[in-house]
Amino acid sequence: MLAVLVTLTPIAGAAQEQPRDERAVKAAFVFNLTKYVEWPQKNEEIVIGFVGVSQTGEILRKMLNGKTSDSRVIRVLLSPSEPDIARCSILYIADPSPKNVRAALEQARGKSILTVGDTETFVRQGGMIGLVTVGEQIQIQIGLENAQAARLKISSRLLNIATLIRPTSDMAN
Amino acid sequence: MQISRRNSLAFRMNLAVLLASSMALGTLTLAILVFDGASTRTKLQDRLSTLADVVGQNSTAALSFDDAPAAGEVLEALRAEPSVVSACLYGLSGRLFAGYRRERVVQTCPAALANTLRADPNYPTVRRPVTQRGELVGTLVLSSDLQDLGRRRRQLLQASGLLAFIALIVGGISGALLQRKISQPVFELAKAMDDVSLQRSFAVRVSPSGTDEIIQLGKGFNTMLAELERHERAQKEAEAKLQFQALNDVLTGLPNRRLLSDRLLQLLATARRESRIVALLYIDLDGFKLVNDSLGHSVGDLLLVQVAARLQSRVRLSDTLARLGGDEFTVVLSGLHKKEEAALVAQDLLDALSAPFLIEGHQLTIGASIGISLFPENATDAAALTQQADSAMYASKRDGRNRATYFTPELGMLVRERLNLENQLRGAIGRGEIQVHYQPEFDVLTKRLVRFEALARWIHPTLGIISPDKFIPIAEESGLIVMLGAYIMEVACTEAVRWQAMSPLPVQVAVNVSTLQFKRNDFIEEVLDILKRTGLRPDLLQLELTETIMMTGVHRASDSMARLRAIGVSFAIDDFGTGYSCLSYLPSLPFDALKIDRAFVRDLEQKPENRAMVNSLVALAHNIGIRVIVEGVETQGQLELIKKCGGNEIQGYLTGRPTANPEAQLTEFLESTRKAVENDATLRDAVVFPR
Repeated sequence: MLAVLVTLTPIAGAAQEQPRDERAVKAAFVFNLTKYVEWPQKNEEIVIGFVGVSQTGEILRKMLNGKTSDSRVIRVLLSPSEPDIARCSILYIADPSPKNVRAALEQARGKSILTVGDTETFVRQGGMIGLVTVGEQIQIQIGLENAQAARLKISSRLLNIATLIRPTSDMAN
Repeated sequence: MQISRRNSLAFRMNLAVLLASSMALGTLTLAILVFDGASTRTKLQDRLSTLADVVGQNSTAALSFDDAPAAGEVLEALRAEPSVVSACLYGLSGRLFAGYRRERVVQTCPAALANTLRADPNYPTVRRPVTQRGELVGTLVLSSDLQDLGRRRRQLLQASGLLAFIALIVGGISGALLQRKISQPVFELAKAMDDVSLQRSFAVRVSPSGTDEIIQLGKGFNTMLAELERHERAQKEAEAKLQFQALNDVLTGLPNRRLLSDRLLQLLATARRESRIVALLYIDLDGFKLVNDSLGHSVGDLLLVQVAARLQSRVRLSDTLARLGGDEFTVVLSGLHKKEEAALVAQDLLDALSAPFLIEGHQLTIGASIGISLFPENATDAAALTQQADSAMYASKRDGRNRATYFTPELGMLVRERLNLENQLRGAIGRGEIQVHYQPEFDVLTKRLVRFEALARWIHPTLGIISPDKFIPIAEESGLIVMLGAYIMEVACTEAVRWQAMSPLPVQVAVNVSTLQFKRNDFIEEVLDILKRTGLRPDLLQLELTETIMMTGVHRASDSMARLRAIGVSFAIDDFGTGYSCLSYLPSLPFDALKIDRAFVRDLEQKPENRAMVNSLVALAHNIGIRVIVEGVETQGQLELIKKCGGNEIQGYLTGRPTANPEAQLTEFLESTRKAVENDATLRDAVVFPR
């Protein structure tokens, strides 16, 4: 039974089995995030928008597009347009430039979009989930106020293993 | 009986109580252990499952985001749960993701989930899938150990042990109480039984206590003892009674012959030591036989009781009065100084008996004949002393009764002779030694030979002729008189038949009948039988009875006489005036004649008072219509006087001695009569004396 489960979920298991491909692990994390976050509206699909320059977007699309999480089909949109962003549930922002990040966050503001980034400063800049590589580990940083402002509920279990980051006022600007 | 501790009821009961409580406790403990074990395992399983679910839920994020330290921290929270020995969290790949194990626990988490399948029974294990939103994210394996169960069991066993200890104490106490209630009364019963066997007495009783059954048992025991006691008492009384009866006379309560001989032996031994005189008085009542025979044994017995009482009243306590049987008593006088004292005592005893006895309306006068024998003068042993006193008593009887006689050696001879005679008399008839002689009796006026009186003679082969005075009393005492009387009657009747053939006139035969013979039930039949056998006409038989016949009871005697008189037999009263005459009875009995004893005739010529007596007797007889026969007439002068008095017939040496050949005498009489008739025709009917 367990073996069957393992074969049925090759993607999730990749994070632990395969050699550390940081991007793949982050993709798996994003998939797992869909299970620990509750959106205010019930969607039949989860649209993940990817904004940025790294190859992570490509890997995201490869690994997650078409998958289902909790009966919801995942669609990955690379570099979505502004209207597309409005349809997104998750917006992965992978841009080393704080200015671009801020701009992307600005586009998601006011909407129930879980913003995920992978820079150290992402959460302080107003992002919600930061997947920050620390040594061999990927640390999860959560800006809880940001998420709550977007009417998103983050599972306490996730909070238990994450590092909560309070946004600084200057950065919020 | 010694009751062993191990086998006692109390011990067994205590054992039963203790066993029962121990078994109950043991069973309960076992049941609790089994049930508790099962429920503890179930509870542990449930608890582990719950814990696994909670911990698993808390581990999902750690699993999802590959945060092993976080998972470790979550698992670490199980430290607060002492029942969990180890927790192993496995990822989807089946590899160990995080593990927790309690200090000092050897078991470690297998590296692969598959290896956790081999469950160690000592470590109850649950495996729970860890899911997030319905999706499997890993597996949590929680292990526990049975330490808790073992601890609980130890506690339970300790509690059980304590309870068992308490139960044993309580059981012991209650057993002791129970024993007090049940076995103590039983033990007391057993002790009472022991007492019965030890004391050999049934007087022991128990006070029933305890349970109903034991009270019942105790009551039964008491009842049984009472019954045994009663039985024993009855047996002892019977033994005492037997003992008394063995040594005492039942009728009078006096010592019997056996006790007498015991006492006599002792007294003689004492007398021998102290050189004292002992006198043995042998007492035989005179006329008791008559009382017994005529008035019945019950009157006789009452008389004996009164005689015993009177005798007892006259002897000292140190003297022994005993009844030897029948009318024979003995008094042993000890400590006499002179032999004359015995005679004084004897006379005193005779005086005591002299007053009449009043028994059932009869006034009875009896006397006693006493023989006295002395120790050591006459004999030195008890048997000889008794025998000699007996001889002396017979001497008293012979000498006229109602007297006491000292034993003399001559008396001894007489007694031996008498004994000898009695033995020889038994065979005398068979040997033909008894002969019958006949003495004629003549009519005074007609001088005719009217009858012969049959008289018995004993012709002894060595002693010669023994007089009837000597052997008739012996025959009477020994009872031989019955046979003898019948024999003489038959011989006499046979003889009398011959006389009738010889004589033109009838000649009667007179036969003496003993009172003993007369009172027999078959007497009448015997007489009729003899008459029939011999062919003698009944009117030719005269039976002569003595005055003692009156004592057999007037009615019965009168009836018997009347029956024989009816066929013609006549009766005469013999030896009138010598015995205990009771004139008032005379008219009631149908006598034909009265025979005046020779004692009145002997001095008839010399003594006017004798003449007056004969005169009166004749007058009396004639007044009541019976003839008078006078015995012992020896002289012509006596004959003349008798004729003058009016006596009817005479008998005596004057007219004829007893003869063995009466036919010769009859022939002689007939011849002289014939001659006289021839000489004088007018004297045809006259009777001529032979001389």
